[in-house]
Amino acid sequence: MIEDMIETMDAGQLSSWYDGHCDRLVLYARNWLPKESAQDVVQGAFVRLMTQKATPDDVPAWLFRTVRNGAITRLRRRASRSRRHAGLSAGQLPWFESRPDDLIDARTAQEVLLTLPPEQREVVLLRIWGQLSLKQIGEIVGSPLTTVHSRYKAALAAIRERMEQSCRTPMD
Amino acid sequence: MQNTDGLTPMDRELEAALGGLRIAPAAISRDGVIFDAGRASARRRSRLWQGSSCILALLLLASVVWRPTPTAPQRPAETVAQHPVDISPAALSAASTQAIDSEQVRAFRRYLRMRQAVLERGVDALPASTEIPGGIDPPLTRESLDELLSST
Repeated sequence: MIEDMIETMDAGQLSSWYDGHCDRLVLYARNWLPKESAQDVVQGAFVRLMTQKATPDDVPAWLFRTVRNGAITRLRRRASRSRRHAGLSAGQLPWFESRPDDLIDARTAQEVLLTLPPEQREVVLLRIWGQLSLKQIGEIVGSPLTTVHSRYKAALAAIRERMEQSCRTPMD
Repeated sequence: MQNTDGLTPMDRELEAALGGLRIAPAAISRDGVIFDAGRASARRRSRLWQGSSCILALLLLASVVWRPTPTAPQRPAETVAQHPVDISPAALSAASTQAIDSEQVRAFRRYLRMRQAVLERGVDALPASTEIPGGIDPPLTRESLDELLSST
């Protein structure tokens, strides 16, 4: 049964997609959801990928788009029960692992990212950790390239400004 | 990285610093994903079978319950002529020649002529009886019966 599903795609390729994108996809989904739900959405995306009759042309972009749709759908369901999207940062599990050789403090980076407008944060997540081109990002979020580019630049400027502020006045 | 035109060196430094952060690992096992994919596939297949079985059962039920009632042979509706119909021999002949073949037409004409003659002159107008082609079997006698029995 599993062999039937995987026969359309190379097993090694599937492993590389999984190993290369799983964590990035979970991080992207955490733009909207807590970790547990984000993992469920990513798992669902991989299941959908494996049960596709034909392998998508651009698998990374397909995975990010599927995760985005799944996360937003789940967020809407959650929002109908508890409207506290703005307070998502409270009690968030860390997005990044802290390491001593990091140029930026992981916790500070997460807090700064969470202060960004959601559409800017999404572009930054897709660009830096999703490693997608701005064109791919535009296709995923359904916005023109110029809009994506301006969002990205604005997000970087905002991050730099807030990081400098946090250096002056520690967020903790 | 592509399409980053317009970024300042500071932007690129910030990109690199952010990109150096290690993402917290997800707690999703590959085996779990494969298991879920197999379960989803099996569920889809079983739904396919269930659906086709339901359709077949419904068709069977429908064929048992619904029996087409035999319809009575259609007869043309009898109509009463509102106007007097011309039933003269000529009219009948003319009307019937379309549907009857030529042999029947000739026989019918003979009959009409004979009928007209009988009406005018009585039974004397009937022609003398003619011998049926092929003849009539002779009356059965005892001798001929014995002969028939002995031949069989």
